Amino acid sequence: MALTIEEIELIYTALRDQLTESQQKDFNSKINDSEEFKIEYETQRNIMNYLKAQQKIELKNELKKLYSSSKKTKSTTSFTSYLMAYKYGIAATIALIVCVSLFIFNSGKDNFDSLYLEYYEPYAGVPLLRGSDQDSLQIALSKYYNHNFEEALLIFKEIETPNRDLLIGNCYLNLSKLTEAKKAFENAIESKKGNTNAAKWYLALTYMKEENVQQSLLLLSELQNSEYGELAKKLLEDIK
Amino acid sequence: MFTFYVVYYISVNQDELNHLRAEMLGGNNSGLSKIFESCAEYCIRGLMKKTNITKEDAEDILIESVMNFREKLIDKRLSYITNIKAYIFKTCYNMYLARIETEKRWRRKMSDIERFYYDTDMSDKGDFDHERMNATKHAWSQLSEKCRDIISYFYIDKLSMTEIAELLNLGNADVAKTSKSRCYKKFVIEAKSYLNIQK
Repeated sequence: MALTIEEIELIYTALRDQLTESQQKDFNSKINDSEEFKIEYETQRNIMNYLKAQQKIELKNELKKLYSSSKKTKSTTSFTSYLMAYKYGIAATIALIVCVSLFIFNSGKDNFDSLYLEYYEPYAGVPLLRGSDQDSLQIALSKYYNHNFEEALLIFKEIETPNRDLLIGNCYLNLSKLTEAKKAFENAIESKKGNTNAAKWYLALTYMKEENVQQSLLLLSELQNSEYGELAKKLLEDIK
Repeated sequence: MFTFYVVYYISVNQDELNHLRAEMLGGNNSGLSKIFESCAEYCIRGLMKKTNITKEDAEDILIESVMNFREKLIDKRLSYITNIKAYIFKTCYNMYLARIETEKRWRRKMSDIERFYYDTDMSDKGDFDHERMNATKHAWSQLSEKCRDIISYFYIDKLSMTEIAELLNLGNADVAKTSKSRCYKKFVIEAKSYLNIQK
């Protein structure tokens, strides 16, 4: 039996990853009940995946060219800037003084930013098991390890697992939602479920990201005798 | 306006992002070269220091990170960036980790096309199949330019029918929807018939 117009529309929406909650339920039941629907969806999804991959290759080639030309532009610009600086020596000196002042003013912020970038890695203490794709936790972890933090977060919120708050906090941190991230890590520490030292480590990094150095130092000192001890000591030295 | 902000590494607000998005949807990606100019050196050096990868690999990851930025921008998943350099570097590092994870998962080094294929759907259990890829290529080549634009805008860039109608001068959303259905149907039929002929 041919698919109905509604079923075809459902496939279109699923291919755009835009199913609403009720559509998702309808879609899941059709996938389970109708072999024809399932085959049609999987065929179309497969074709679209190849198309997306090919389009990415084309875009990547275009950006490679842009990148190469930007390198050339940059070297030409530097040479031009040198000539201009020579010609307008006094102006350049004044500009330099202003820039140095600005740099000093902003250096603290930049340092914490670079330290955060240098030390932060998403928590990877919950293993992703191959062949368990139907389990909600595994689906969420697959998205999380694939850096699809928005979707992973939605699933983590719905499930119960010892490191739930820690993973949620990491998702928020990657989405730059620092207040929510702090709350999640604090919950993880208070509940004492899962890896509380990891929660303290990520909370310390969150504080550093928002330039709350005192709180960050406090947590790092607490971690000195834990599995995060080495990292904490190194980071403390870098902060000093 | 966007050029000014990117070059001086300051925040990029919604208006500038919208402007850049509109340019890209019109087929002009040149705005991204400003990102390369301002972020490339910092990201490549940082990535090499943090991960010990080669310069070529770091450049490759940088390009894919800018692709990711573009994708998020078109998909309206970006609203405000406080520090574009830090943002791109963070994406680079996440991409590096994702790349390692994908290769660990499939236990082999992958070509770009394979990796992009698996990236689009990690739960896909089907192995990368050159025949199917060729079928897609063939079907794509059978479509008119307008049809290709409609399908790309709808399924890849995930634009609304109203937006597609405006971009392609199609009158209104209903006309765009009808065209999309017709083009997509032709695309799928062409791909399926190519696969049947090969069998």
